[in-house]
Amino acid sequence: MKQLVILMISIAVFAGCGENSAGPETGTEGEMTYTVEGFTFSWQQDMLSNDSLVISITAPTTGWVAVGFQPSALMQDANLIIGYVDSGIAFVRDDFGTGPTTHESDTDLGGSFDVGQYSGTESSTETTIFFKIAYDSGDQYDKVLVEGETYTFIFAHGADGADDYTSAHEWVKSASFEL
Amino acid sequence: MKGKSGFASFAVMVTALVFGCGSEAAGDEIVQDENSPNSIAVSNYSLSWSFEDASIEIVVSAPTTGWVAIGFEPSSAMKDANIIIGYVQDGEVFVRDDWGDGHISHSADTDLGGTSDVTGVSGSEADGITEITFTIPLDSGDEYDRILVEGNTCKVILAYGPDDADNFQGYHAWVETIQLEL
Repeated sequence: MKQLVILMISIAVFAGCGENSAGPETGTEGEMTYTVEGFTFSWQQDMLSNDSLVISITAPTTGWVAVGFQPSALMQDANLIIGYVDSGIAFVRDDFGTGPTTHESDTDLGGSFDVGQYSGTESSTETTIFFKIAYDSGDQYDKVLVEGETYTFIFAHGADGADDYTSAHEWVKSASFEL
Repeated sequence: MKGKSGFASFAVMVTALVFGCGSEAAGDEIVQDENSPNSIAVSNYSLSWSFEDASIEIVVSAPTTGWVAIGFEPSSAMKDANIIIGYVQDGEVFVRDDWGDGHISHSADTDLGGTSDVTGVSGSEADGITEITFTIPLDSGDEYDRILVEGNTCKVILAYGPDDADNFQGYHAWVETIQLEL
């Protein structure tokens, strides 16, 4: 009994402290949101086409923000989408993790740019980019995604003012959950 | 260190160049008509507005037979924006007063407990172009709208849906977020 109480307390303490312990939350119109340490990843199926995902990523930075799908190690082999907002204009690149800590644009690797209809917003403290990607773009430098399957994600953002695709991340975190 | 940062900006510039050709334009140019200061065009999306007492009349036009939309003052993506979305179906104009209740989703103000504050609705659909005209108060008092002030610069999200998307849903076929001086 005593052990059980201690166990319960440790679970409560652990759950209370770990900001990333909560899973994705459901919003309106099927929008799902996963938040970790101020980074927000939202997604929903495109209601019209059904073959695409609509995604938004927000991070506490005025530099770049990024999400990676299914890395094998760190960012290796991940389909990475990275973007920033400069003077109100959003720039987005479709990348692939060429090594554990390196990535290149799909187009440089011989693949294709497969990020649709993107835009972004930036405040003095936060940047958001939103875009659409196909569940299966057909590009070898993207990942095939299936609704309801569990994937590993890597989230990252650059330092304030880092409006580029190349500078080192200021923050990075990975998570696993059902899409 | 100096050399390194120089290289970084060179890389970004090259990327931007390559990128501008290969993908659809990131950040379409905002074209402003000198003779008509309250009128802009971004890509093929046109927007004009005029103030009248405590309200603003807005005309949006876009190359689609589906929906057209404008959102005022999103905090991030479309969240917290006052979104007006409309379409023309069989000659009838449908317009809804929405609120960005998610980063990538929006709901009717009335569904959220607010009010519909759009009046003076008219519109047309011809030659693949949909045009919607409507009037909203500068300050509706509804918590699901944004207060607009003449002469102020605000963040505006412009979007339109695919052809035949005669509804208030679905992802846009085109979107741009701009800073606009009203």
